[in-house]
Amino acid sequence: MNDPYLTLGLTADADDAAVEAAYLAGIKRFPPERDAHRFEALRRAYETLRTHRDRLAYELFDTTPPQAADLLDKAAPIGASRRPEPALFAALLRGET
Amino acid sequence: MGPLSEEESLLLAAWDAERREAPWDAEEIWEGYARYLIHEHSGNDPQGKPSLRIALALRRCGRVAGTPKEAASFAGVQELDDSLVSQLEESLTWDPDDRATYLRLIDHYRREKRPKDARRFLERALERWPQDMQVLDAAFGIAITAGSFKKAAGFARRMLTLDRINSEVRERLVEAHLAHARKQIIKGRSDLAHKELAEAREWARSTQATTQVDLVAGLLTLREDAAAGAPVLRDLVARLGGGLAGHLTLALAGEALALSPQVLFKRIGLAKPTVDGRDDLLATLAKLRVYDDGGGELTDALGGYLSLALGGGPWRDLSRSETEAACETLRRSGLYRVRRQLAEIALKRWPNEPLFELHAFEAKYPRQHYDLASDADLEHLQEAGERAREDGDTRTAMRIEQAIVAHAPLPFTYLSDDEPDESDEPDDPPLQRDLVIMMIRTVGLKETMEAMGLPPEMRSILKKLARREGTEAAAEKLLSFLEMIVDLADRKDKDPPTPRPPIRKPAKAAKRPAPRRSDAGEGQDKKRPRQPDMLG
Repeated sequence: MNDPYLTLGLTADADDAAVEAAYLAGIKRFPPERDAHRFEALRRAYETLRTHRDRLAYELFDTTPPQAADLLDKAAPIGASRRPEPALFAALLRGET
Repeated sequence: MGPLSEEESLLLAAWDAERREAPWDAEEIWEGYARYLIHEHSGNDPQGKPSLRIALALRRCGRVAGTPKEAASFAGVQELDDSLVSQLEESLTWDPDDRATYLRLIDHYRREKRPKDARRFLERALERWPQDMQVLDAAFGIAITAGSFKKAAGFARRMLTLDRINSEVRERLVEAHLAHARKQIIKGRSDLAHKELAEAREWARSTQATTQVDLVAGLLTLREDAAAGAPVLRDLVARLGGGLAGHLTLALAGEALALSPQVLFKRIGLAKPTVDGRDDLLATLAKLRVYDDGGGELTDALGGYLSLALGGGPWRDLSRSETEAACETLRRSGLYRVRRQLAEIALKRWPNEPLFELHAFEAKYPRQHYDLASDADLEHLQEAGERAREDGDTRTAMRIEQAIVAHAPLPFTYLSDDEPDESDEPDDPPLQRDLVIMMIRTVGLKETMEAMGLPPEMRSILKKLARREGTEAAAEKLLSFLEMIVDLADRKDKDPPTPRPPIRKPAKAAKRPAPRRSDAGEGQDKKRPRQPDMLG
């Protein structure tokens, strides 16, 4: 299993609300019709970390070694879109920056 | 990096035990970890204790045991043992809000037929989650098991208020009302039975549910007025196709009211049923499968009745896959005589087919571990097993091996590939160690010991050893014990040509499990004491 914290782009001290917010943001960015694999990973990660009890159980019982995919998640964590703002595009085209 | 703390060492040991798939070690270490946490924080404010961590550690083994994935790797802990149960119970004092643990405990006590304990946890769960479907479903199941059908109907109704279009719950509500109606019929309270039937009819939507309501109503009418009830039931059987499948449906409804099929059919003037062609045969088998899936067990009376009717069925019209499925259904229903007959027909059509050889053998020796097979039959089956393995049919080959283990006289010398050699070393044990281990892995240590008739003290010692050092260690001990018995038997009893080792006999005859059921005339049904005939 991939590291669910990395999949959701969370730190280890995330609370219930943060987990839910990250999950909702993630599935908005990667709906199942666009990226089924990523969507499934997000769902699994959410189920693993949903409650305080779940997060503690993950900490106590999960012994899965880090996966290659974790490195990718670490390199490109889920977060705000990195696409430049349209205004910046326009400015670049006008040669203003 | 400094030395590991005690907590870290315990965690590492627990993870290692899980990695090694050593369930008993894992259980002990996780419990040790919980005790460590309790002790470490004993002086602190109870609020400051890592309660959730303690609860999770305590319920770790109890929760994983029994889940399909873990049951495969944690062989031997599919059923909760006493210490796991007490750990689960204790975990609720540290974390009383874990619904899954309540459901696990309720399910455990229900399986163990300890309704008081099941209700103890159910009440607590209902207090916390009065509107939870899973909790209500557990409550419904317990009420049905206890025969409290009115209460069961109440829980089903509560589920329906939460999910009005849930057809499964609706069916269960109908079944609860029907069960209550049957109870009232048996008690002679026709008025209350009518009331329950009216309730059932109100909720019944599917054809199957309405048929069931009609059947019970017809049987009630028969009880009140035989002349009026008989044509109602005859019409019902005709509506159900008129063949054996229809007769079986009525007979099962009658069985639930303690009415034997012979008495019932005589009372309503129905002729002896015969199988009305291939479709009727398949429909009858399908009904038997559904009945078995629902946990129903045929009584001797009904089994005998069916055996007679099925005996003349058009078995040759079935395809090979249908014949295989039919053999399996007959096995599950305990109709050994018909199964044997079908297997023999199948062997004429598909000679030497290992699967049908297995069915023929098992039907001839239906009581596992108690019916010792003849050498010729065992040899024949062993050859079939070899053919199955050569054909790549591993599943049948394994089933055949298990059948041989279950029916061969211990210590399974029969299966030895080597011919007995006079020149063998005297200390070479004639025991098939792998087979005993396979048996333990297949049916579990407890069942193996019971099948071998080991004395209770020995069983207790081995069980403790298994918990302490693992199943393999207990198996080794058991093997050593068997070898010792075999040595003693060899020394003491060399004269008879085929000595049966004394261990084969269970310590107490009374402890032998009764066969699930036998075909007609092979004994009374021990499991279901007959109710008085409700027709008087």
